[in-house]
Amino acid sequence: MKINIYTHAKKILPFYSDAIKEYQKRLSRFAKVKIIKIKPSELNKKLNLDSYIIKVSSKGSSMSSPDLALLFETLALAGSSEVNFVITDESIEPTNHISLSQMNLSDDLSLTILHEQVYRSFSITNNLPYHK
Amino acid sequence: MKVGIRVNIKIIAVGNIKEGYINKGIAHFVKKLNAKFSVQTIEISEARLSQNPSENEIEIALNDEGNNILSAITNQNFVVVCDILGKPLTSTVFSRILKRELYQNKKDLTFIIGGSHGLSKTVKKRANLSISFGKMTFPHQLMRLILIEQLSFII
Repeated sequence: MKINIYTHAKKILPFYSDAIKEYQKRLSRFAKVKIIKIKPSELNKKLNLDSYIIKVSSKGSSMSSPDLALLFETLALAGSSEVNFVITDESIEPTNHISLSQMNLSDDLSLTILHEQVYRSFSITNNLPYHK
Repeated sequence: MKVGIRVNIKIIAVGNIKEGYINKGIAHFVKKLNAKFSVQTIEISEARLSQNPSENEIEIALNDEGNNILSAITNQNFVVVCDILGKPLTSTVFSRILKRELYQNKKDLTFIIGGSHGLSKTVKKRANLSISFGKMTFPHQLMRLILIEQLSFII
């Protein structure tokens, strides 16, 4: 599966960037994860509106980790080969709108958490042990 | 921690952090907070459990950790626990509560993050506020980074 994560983060703090690299390494056996930096104004122009788009913001619906795992499984079964996460407060027309937390997080932390949760989803689906 | 200045913010966490990036991240935000406050972190060691622990075994472990946590709390502190089943406050509301305690009620703040199995009932009972960052399950090490980043933004 191809997973694109769109973000408005310009500079990512080094420790967050290290965390993301670590999760990308662990995720590489399950999916191809790519971070795409984008300006808020470019979103509607550059997003492929025919793809599965998950908006991520503090106002989205709170999802548990097993729910997210289930979503990935459903998408895989439906033959979706590409999922696009968009971390933004801009108004776009997503297929789904979730929150990592109802609190306001920095863009870099949101990227880190999203990687961790995607990795956790694949661990759940593949019955791999993963600690809390 | 500044010498001779009272500790305003205490973070009590169960278990240690092995990941370098999380330690660096926490240090980054503690430094930011230390410009205004005095932050102290207390790590409680995680009780050892067998491979597949029973409910009872987990409860005993949580109570052991709980006793150590409770003895690290100063009585007059405003105590906040992080619990997936706590109140899902927004940053705005969380900020308002913490500022009220800090500046109007002149309280010091204590934040508690449990280990992989959470916190004992006794610790939850002592809490003045139980907050949730949402329904997702985070590794407790990452939870410490999430909390400290949030604190550096809102107080």
